[in-house]
Amino acid sequence: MSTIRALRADRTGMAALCAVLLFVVLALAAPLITALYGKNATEHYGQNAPGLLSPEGLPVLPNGGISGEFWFGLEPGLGRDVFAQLLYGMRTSLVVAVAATAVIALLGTVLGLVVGYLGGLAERAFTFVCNVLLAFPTLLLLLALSPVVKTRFVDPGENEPVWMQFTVLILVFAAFGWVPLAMVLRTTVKSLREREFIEAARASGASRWHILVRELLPNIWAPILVNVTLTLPGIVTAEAALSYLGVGIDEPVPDWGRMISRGAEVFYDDPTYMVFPGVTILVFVLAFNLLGDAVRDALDPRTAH
Amino acid sequence: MPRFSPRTAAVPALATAAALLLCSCSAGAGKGDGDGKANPTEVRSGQRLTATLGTAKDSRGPAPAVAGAQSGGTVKVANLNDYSHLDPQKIYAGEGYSTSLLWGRQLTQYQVVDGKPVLVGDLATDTGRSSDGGRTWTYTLKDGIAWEDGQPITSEHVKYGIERTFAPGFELGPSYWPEWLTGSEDRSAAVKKYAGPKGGGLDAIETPDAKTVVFHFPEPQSDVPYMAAQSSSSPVRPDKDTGTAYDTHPFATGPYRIAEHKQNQGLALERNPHWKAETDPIRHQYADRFEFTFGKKILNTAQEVLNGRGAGPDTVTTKSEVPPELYAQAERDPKKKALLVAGSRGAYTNDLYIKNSRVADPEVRKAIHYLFPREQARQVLGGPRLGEFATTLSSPAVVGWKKYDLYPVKPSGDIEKAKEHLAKAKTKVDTLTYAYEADAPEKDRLAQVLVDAFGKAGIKLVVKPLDKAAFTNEVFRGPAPYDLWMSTNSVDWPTPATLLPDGYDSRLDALSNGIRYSNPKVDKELDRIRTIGDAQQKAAALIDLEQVVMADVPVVPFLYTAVTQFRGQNIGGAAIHPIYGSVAAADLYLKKS
Repeated sequence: MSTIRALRADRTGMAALCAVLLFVVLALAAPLITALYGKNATEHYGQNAPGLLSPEGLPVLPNGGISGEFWFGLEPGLGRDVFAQLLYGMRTSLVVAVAATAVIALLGTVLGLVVGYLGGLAERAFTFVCNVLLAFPTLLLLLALSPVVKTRFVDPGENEPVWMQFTVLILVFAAFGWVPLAMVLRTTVKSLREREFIEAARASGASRWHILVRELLPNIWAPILVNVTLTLPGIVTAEAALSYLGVGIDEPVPDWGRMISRGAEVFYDDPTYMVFPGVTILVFVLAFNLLGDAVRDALDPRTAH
Repeated sequence: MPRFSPRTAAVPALATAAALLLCSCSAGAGKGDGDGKANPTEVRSGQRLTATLGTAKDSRGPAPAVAGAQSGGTVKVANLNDYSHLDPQKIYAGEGYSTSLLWGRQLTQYQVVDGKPVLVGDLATDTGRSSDGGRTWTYTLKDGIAWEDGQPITSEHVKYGIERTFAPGFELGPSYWPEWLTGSEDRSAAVKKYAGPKGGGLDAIETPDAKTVVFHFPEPQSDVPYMAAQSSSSPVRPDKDTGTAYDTHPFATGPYRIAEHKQNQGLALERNPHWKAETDPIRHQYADRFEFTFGKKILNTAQEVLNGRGAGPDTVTTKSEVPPELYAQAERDPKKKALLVAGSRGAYTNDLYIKNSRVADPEVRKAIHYLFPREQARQVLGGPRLGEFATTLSSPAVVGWKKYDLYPVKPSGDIEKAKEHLAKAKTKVDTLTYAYEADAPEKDRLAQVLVDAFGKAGIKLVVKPLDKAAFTNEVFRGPAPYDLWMSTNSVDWPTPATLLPDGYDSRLDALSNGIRYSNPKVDKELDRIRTIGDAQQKAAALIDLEQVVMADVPVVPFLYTAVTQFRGQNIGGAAIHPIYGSVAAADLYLKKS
């Protein structure tokens, strides 16, 4: 309870929490908001209605085509609505980040807990695997893997299913993302298992399961929470970077990374278009990072300043 | 101890965000030319640019002067990549043909006056005289033509150059000489009969004296004058043939010679003192030197040139186009707009290809023709600078071209008409696949435009982004499992002789007839046309046949492609070569400030 009180006392932390909650609500309510707004994220408004885009595909109105009808303007080229794209892009980012973080938290906790408690051979094997994974060039793997997945696992007569794109990303992020959490937890558990309350539990004949789940787990919530709140924004930026490079989520699923990449292409002609995804992703990641920071301070007052 | 935390970073980060927001106000693209006035740099790729055959008088030098041209100075050419080949018998691309005119001469060549090409004799006194129904072609060389060391160019050198196209290592170049001279189906059959100059001379080319070359073809050939303009019809002197080294440093016959060639870095040309302007109806020798540099990014070069910074004012590009990032900006600023050089990209057309064996019902193909969103597709690719909408299979640059529009449709497509034709189809089509080379994000967006249009007509379009190797392998070579793809087609020279016979004959393999078009009537007519020895008659027959082919809608015409390049403000004479589709280097001069 003191943790929550400490968090509530932290004004930056509360502001960050509010921002994060706002993003989550916006993402969840995206279909509702776009329905009220009257536009969707996939229709090519600028191409289907005359007078919105020039023959070169640039918005005719100044500031990226911002108008009462298109609040954040139009995407150059395809002429989709930027506001709707941003909202749905948030869903893409959050789905990948939340799912990958959940898998990371689960894998990291289980492995860190078990390995830290067992020690010995298990620990040596664990260290080796961690070193291999840390040395692995993740980005290169994804760049190389992406076309292979598309040509080998998808029938020539079928689109690459959207769930497959998401699954590949989530699995790759999870496969490499659990290492830091597991390593931190292993060290924590190693020091905890020598403490008296564990000795006592062991002496009273408690099972290994009981010790792991009832005695050790409640004592490592703090590092798990901190790690999770800091991993999530990292994955959001990583996903955007991959989509920017063309190996993330493909058209027509809205995606912030692809929006930024398009913004870079038309930056000289329509700088406004870059601003919306750029600022949103900046604020989003910043809010998560500040929240993570606040959570850490609240859980461990010694590191506060 | 002070330490960095996200919290301390928040203030500058938010400040950055605010600054970004403040700087991001931008002007709109505006309504464009509302007054309907013609745009001076507007691309006119749909205009007829047919190369006519010139007379012996046209073939005399010197070349018609470029208005306002001045002599002297160094023209700088900045291209992204070095030439993969300089060996005249290996060059096989429009820009390579055009730029190599600076140092190389052929039997015939295109003289360009006011943007109109005329085929004239280059080394030869005329475009060739045929006899025996097109089986024998005779060329007479001019007086006063010489190599860069002053020795005269003889008929033996022309013969040797063409014999080289049979030799191993020359598979990259066009295979027409080996096929025609031996009467073979393809190059591999031809080289079995004659394997290059190492095995002695080729009997089919006679050189009765130092000035006369006589070609003997087993079959009548009508397009020899055009083939004689290809780089592979350049003379090569046997004692200067350095084998593979000739590919980086050929021996010059044109107005310039290669002073130095550092591969992938630079190529310097200096004046060739033995070239005589009065023998050459095509080329000029205005600048003292040409200096090519390779490797600089196009975006950087274009910014230097368009803003007139550094070496920009003296720089031109023969290969690169204006980068899409800078195009709209250059179009809006009149000073920059004057530096754009736009024109038709030779005889190219860009079409939506349909695998006819998979989409066998002509009604479905007609439906695709009607629903194809030409305007939206061009918009998403960059707009009108890409070229005018096409209605014909062949380009307006082809001899005998006639404008026809068999199934007129508005540029944004006609979904209702498409639905009517789909309803007439024997079997209902609900899914089609579209493959594309996923090397640029605009191709992903083009795919979305197509998905949208097909979707409106009730067809689910499956899109298949493939990497370059997979695309070439799977779509062009072999039984591709895809129905549609975009492709450009061109002819090897501006007559229809290489278009239908080399791509729409059902007996061709999948490599040549990639769309698997098959119409027995067309095959029969092609057999008849093959025996015609007169170029004009043959072109007329092929152009008539083209409408028969297009009635079946084997492909959907999209664009007569155009190209937009750029030149520095001191570069004069820059224009797109109507046949080769890039800035014609042989007309360039340097304006003295």
